[in-house]
Amino acid sequence: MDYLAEKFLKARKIPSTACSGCGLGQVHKKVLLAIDDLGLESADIVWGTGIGCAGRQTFNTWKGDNFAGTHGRVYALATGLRLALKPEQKMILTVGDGDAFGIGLLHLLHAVRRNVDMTVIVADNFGYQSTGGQYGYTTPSGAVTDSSPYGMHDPNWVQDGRDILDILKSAGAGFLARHTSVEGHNAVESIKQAIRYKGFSLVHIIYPCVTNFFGKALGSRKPVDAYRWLKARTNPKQQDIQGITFTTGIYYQSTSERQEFSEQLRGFTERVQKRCQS
Amino acid sequence: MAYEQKNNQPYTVRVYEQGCKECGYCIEVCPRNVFVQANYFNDKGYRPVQVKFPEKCIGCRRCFFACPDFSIDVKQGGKDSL
Repeated sequence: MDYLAEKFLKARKIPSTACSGCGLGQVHKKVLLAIDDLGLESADIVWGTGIGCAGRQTFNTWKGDNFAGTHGRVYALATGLRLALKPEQKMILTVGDGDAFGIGLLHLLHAVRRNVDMTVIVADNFGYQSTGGQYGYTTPSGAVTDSSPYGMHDPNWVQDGRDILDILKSAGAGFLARHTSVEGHNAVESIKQAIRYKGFSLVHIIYPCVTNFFGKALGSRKPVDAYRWLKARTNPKQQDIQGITFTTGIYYQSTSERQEFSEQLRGFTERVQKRCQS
Repeated sequence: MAYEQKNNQPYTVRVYEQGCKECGYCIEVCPRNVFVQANYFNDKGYRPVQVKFPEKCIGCRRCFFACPDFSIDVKQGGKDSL
């Protein structure tokens, strides 16, 4: 275990059960680096996880407090938990693309609508990989998967003029960023800003699934092939790249402060109590 | 065989062999070819990478960022810095 894992993660959970070359560890590490850079300790953060590869591999790894939600419902649990936590305590949720942008999208939108103080890290591996590699909501157009043997035909959330981050922005999210797991310091900086942000923040991080996605879509289970594919499509400078490409960096940062959910509700409760007493 | 790290090198790279899953990302990203694949297996059945040329390391930490299994540390200074 490196110094980060030793400092923040439970020894019995590392190394994880993830496949060789799974990029989830790269995502996990970036979040830990951001936490370390901000000078936060295990007790300062409550870590929540969803279901799927992202939920399973990060589940109960954090040395501090952890909780796990059912598929797509961790945002609702986190909303309730926000009221019980001290305002200065941070909440980080590591979830997958199916959890956030499919099954849990409505819960996610309501957490955005209420501006609940949490940082959602969406670790995106292009579909339902833990169940064998079925297509999902971010599977690249035309990709061969277990459930799209003739190529991905279903419109996704990230191509052809659609962007899921646009929807979250319209719903009121204050901080949104997109990165890939093959990036370095720039991704860590975005995560740091997301954690610092008082209110709802989300960082969408694409990572390679070597076993299921790339095994079928690229016809290779060699981790380095997946790494090169993702590296070639990681696009921080907005270059003209053919096919699917991921423009990385901060997508949106609100300039005006919106009242946070638990602050608003505490203030409201106080006003109602005063009214009842008078 | 294990390769020895010295005290007069600018950076020390350490691979935790039991955590390594042989993905090869560190070999791919290292600009100075510090790593090689071992010819033996760890307890999980993977051939871990080894730090063959530690004196070549320039401390860019690309391997540290790329390693998905928390199995590489890069520190400034010789072997005693770890």
